[in-house]
Amino acid sequence: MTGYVLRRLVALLPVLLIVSTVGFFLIYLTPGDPAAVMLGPDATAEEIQHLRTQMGLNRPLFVQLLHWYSRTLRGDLGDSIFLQRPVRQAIIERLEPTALLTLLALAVAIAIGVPAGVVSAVRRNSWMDQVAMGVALFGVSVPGFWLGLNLILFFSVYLGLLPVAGYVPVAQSVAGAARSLVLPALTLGIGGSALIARMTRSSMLEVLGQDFVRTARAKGNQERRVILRHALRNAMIPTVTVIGLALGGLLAGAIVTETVFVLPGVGRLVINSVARRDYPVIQGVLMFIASIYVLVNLFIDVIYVYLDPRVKYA
Amino acid sequence: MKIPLARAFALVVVVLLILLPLVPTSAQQPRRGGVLRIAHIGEPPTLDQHWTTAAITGHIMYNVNEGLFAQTSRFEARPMLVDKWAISSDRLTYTFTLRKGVKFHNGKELSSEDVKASLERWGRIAANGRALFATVASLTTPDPLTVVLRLREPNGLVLMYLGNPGQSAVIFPKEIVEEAGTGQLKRFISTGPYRFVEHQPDRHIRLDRFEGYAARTEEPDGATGRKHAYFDSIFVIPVPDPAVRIAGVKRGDYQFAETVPPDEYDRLRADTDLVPYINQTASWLTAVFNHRSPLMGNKKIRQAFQAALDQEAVMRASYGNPRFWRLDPGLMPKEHYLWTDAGKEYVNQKNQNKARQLLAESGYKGEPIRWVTTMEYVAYGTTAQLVKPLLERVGFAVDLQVVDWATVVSRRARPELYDVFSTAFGFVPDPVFMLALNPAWPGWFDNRDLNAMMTLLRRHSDPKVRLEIWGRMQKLWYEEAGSIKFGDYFILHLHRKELKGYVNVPTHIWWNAWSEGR
Repeated sequence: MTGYVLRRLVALLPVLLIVSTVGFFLIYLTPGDPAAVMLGPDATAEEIQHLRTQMGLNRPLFVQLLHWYSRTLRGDLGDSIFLQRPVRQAIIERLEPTALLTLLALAVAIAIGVPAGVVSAVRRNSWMDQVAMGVALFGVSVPGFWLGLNLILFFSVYLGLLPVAGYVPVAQSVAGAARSLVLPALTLGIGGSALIARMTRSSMLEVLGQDFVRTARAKGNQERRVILRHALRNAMIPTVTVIGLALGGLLAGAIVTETVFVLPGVGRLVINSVARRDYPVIQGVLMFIASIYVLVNLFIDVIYVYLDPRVKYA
Repeated sequence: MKIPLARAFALVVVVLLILLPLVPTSAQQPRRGGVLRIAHIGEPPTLDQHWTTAAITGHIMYNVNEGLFAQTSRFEARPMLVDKWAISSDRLTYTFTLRKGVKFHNGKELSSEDVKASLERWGRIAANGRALFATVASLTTPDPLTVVLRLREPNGLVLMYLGNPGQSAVIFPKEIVEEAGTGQLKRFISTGPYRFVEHQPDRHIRLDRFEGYAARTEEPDGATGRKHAYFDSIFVIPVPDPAVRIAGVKRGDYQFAETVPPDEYDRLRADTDLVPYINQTASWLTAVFNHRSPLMGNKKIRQAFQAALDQEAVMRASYGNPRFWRLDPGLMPKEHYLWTDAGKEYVNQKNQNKARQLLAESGYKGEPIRWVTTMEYVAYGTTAQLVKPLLERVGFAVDLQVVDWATVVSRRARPELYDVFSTAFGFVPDPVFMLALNPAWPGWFDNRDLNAMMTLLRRHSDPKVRLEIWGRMQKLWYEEAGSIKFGDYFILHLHRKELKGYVNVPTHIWWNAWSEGR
């Protein structure tokens, strides 16, 4: 098992190499110019060219790529053009809201998705199934920004219960942080719950028809025990895979949600950096998100072993 | 029954003491304290006002920074850090005496050395600064309170350059300027009523009242006169979504929202807690021709483009409610002393036959006009989409390239990549600052006669003479179809009714504003 995890970690390196190289070319070949953004709309072409040279953006692309490799290998992601701080520091500063938002949204997604999926499988074709799957369809279809704005209108403007937007760091106030994350986590979680509900339903349906479930019932087990202990545990493997995928989706969704709710997280960092062409930050965040994806997938693979003792990694 | 005098007096005092708190204080009596939270559209690219022309940087840092001069609500330059000034009879020497006892936020007293270092930096890196310093022979400091600026040739706009709020000639301590070297400022210290405290990207920029502020005594007018920091702190918060900015002001989380959609005007006006505030200075929506491209370098093609337009339809579709736009031939806004309607016959022509004829005379062979625009600023994209069929009807082929704003900005600097691009021009206090007439700016409208008249305009200070010159310049711009001015538009802001004393000319003036509530 340890060997397997180590091998997977080593395999992270080529993934990051490919991501960074492809990302580098995508970013640098996209039209747009940080110098033009920084100097403002009234800058002349000559002024922009002057600043580009000063920033080293006029060097050949391959020279810039080699420079990026050599720096990154030394553990240095470079400095942000606009934030006047190292990229690594910029990412670390943004981790708290994004990590909390993603985890809370995942909790919301699981709390809604798994019970909804179980209920609709157990009460298949009943009105409960129809309602749960209808809500799931709504969750998948509705855009995050629309849901977010409506939650703001209802909970913040109409009821006055929660702040409209913004973030209070945990170190400043735990309650404040919680209040600022409720609506974003709901927005993101409702979208994520739909996928989990549908996957739980279909794998539960498959498991409920199997012999061991009938055996469990024949042994006189209570229905609740049959469903939760025997069926659900066996149905969890595909669901956990989907939860892993959903985590990736939630990270992507955080970009929109953080923008609507003005959360100073990694998602906002990405959006602003792309709009301003802050190349070092885009590259740094790309590497960071790719690493998270790979690590989450590895984590999910490890969880399989605990869920299903038959799974073994040589 | 007789009441003794002393007892009667005591009774009156008691009644008065009971009633006093119930009597409302004057509605316009400024109140000190509280926090002003401003929801702005995003993050500034930099906080260095010398460095960028981005309006958002000025909006924030003009509370912190001050220059030698500032602008009134009628766009005239008045002294700010300067106490007295004198202009020599040959109009080549300007002697500025600084106000005594003005302190920087770090406690140091303002001296002529700080002014020299700051103005030289501004003259090196800011576009306006370079334009002024092209005519400067020397800048000297005979004593700690005196700065002498000598010109090579007369320039009627020296004070206007020094007081313009855009990419402003603000003054920093000499050591801060030296610390920055050829790069951006590392610390933000000046003499304004608020001092810079912190910038937490994507969270807020915080300014606190500067207790050591040395205010002028004249009545406030625009950015000039007495400044008073009533708020303890100002937080500028980046809130990119306009719906969230509005919701935040409604709930009272923010007191001010920058730029909200004009479509919301009637709904917001109905809410008694809110004040929709229409900008008093106009900006103009424009399509800029690339005079270096083979197509738009052809005057007849430009004129055909101009003749085909229905500008009223364009402005109505882009801004809706007529409160927010107007058709006006003046390149300077109607409120300005240099406003003129010279060339009005070229505006809103809707003349398809003329356009077809001009196009036939131009030798145009149906090459696509590459028009770079964006939907990030909806009006830019809407305009281009509306104008495209108008142009196609008279025989143009149009290749509309809708990209993000950063791409527009980089592409417009490369003449080989486009023929037309969409943008808007904010208010400028004088035509010499006008980008549409700047031969070095993308579009590169470089007309010999116009440039010669611009030199004259810079030299003269007599309003009558200047208006005469400017009228001819504007007419020539229209005759040559320099670019297209579709019309004026007015930005809508929103604030809570408790926010008092806010004005918007020549830029956001938050320093004399206060909160009446709580």
